[in-house]
Amino acid sequence: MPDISCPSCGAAVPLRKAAVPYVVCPQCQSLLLRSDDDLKTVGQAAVLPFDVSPIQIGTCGTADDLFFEVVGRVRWGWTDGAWNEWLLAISDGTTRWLGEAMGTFMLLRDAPQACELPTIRAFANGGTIIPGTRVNVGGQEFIAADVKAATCLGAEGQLPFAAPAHWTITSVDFRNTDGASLSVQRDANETSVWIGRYVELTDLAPKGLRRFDDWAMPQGLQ
Amino acid sequence: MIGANTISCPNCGGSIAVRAAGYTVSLACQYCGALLDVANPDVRVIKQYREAVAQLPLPLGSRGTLFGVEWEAIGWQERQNSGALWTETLLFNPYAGYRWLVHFEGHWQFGTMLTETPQSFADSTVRWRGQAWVANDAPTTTVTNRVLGEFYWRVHAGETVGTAEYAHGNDTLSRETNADEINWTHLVALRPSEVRTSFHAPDADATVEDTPAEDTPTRTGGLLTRWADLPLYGENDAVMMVWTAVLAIVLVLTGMMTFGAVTAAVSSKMTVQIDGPATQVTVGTLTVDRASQRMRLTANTDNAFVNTWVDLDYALVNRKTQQAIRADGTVEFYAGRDTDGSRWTEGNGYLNLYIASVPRGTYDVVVQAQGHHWTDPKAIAPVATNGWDSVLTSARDVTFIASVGGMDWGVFWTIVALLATPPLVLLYWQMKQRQHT
Repeated sequence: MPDISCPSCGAAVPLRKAAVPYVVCPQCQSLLLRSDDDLKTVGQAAVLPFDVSPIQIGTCGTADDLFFEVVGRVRWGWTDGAWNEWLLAISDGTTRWLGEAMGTFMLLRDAPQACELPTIRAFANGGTIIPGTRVNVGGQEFIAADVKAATCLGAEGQLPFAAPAHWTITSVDFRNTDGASLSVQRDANETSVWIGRYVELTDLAPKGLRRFDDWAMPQGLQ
Repeated sequence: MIGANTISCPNCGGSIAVRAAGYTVSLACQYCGALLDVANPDVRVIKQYREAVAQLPLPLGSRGTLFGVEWEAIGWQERQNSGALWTETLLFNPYAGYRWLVHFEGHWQFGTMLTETPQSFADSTVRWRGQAWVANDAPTTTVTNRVLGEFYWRVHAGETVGTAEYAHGNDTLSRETNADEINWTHLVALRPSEVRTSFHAPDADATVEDTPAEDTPTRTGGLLTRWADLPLYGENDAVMMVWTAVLAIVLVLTGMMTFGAVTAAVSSKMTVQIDGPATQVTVGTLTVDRASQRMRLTANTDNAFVNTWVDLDYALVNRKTQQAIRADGTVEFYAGRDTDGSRWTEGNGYLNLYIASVPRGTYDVVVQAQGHHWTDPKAIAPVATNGWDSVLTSARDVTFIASVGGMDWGVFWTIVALLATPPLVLLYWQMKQRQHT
């Protein structure tokens, strides 16, 4: 894979196979926009605080029989905690997100059709969703489980959007009775809907997980 | 890389390892008990507690393997409701997330937070993973008395949540509710020795009887309670019922085919004079060599058998006792043209008679037949006045076959219908349910 130099600090910026426009310099956290074979500094991402997530950039695995590689991450913080969203480059050319909160994982794909639902549309226009609100997407009924105002704590790797520090969103997580999951996020400009399900790490047959000296990798993971 | 981060307690200056860095929100200092906010880089004291640091059954930082995964005890809280006091130890593994060890009166339960929401489908009953879970008690309020170590939410002493517990056998589903969230946890009972040996905590509950925690103390026992604990229905019931029905049908078919094979058959042909005198023929001799067997008596007519009926009187004469079993029936077939020109037919020109259980013995099968002619009153040109017709139908050949044994398909299909109906009704109902949701 081609490495390009960061226009800000000159460090090599590794580019992985993902058709997404932004990348964060691993050295100086400059937010870079890719254009042709060039990189342009468009902002500054926050430094990621230390965490013990088992996922890292470069972790591979299988989701729905498709190979994926983790190429980027955004970390969100709210008043009482934080969560990670890992960008997966899928072998079919698409991208998905692996949400990680409280040691649980959600595999999510873009669901633009759900933006047309009245509840979501009202939320996109500035309305509120309260826990317990129900929406029906593709025959599945989801119940809003929690609503949080979050701020971007940091980002790394490649991303489909610029993730500047102090970027704020409202995030709503929906659950259902079968372990499916729906995530709605609204920032100042737009609202996006993601649909998927809760997964166990072992379900993804992951390779290249982050290693910790004081923790043995459980059997079945590597 | 070490999977922990170190901070200094702003209250006592003690060095504290943050074991689940990035997830941990609040941390109660293991030295002074001060509750710290570690959600943000600038650690600050939320509250200072004066009480002494509690003696924990599993020291924070101790590790043990349960269900094949190594866990580290990172947090501890003491909670109570109106009737009981217990402790909960928070376990962490960076690859497996969080679990709970609930400790109540010397018994341990291992808790896993659910990512799906159990479905409530009746008062005091919820359904989860195909099983019915019945409420133990009325919902109650749980208060957290003391906390120590790390937590992934902003825990504090005095925190209250609404709790409800549902039981299925020895397992428990616990629901905790506050203003923002509803969380479900699945709890399975552990043997105290399991916790003792895996966490190398020899003193923990050595005096308690080594049995998994029974978390249904209100249970009165006995058959009725057991029945009440049974699931109303499971996720896989319909599929299991279909397979059970298929298996039963195959068994019935095999059994009926085995015992229903034709063991003996005889046949004979006779010519019946239409509108003539009754004629009699001996079809043959049949032996029933089981305690009782089914007998089938078949009469077939030729293709030209139209607008004719033949009364048949069968007699199975037992050779030894000369007693007869009798049966009678009619072979008939009519056809014609209505005044509007449409064709109609009735009857079918053959007859199958069954005698369900003929006792053991040797029988002469005798049949007496008398043929009659029928004239269609509506026929435009009455066929009976046509001289040829009476000639054509003056005599008809009838073939008789008598057999012992044979498959009773009517009984078989009745059994199939009875076996297949319940699972099909359930499948239909589930399909309707799915359309609703």
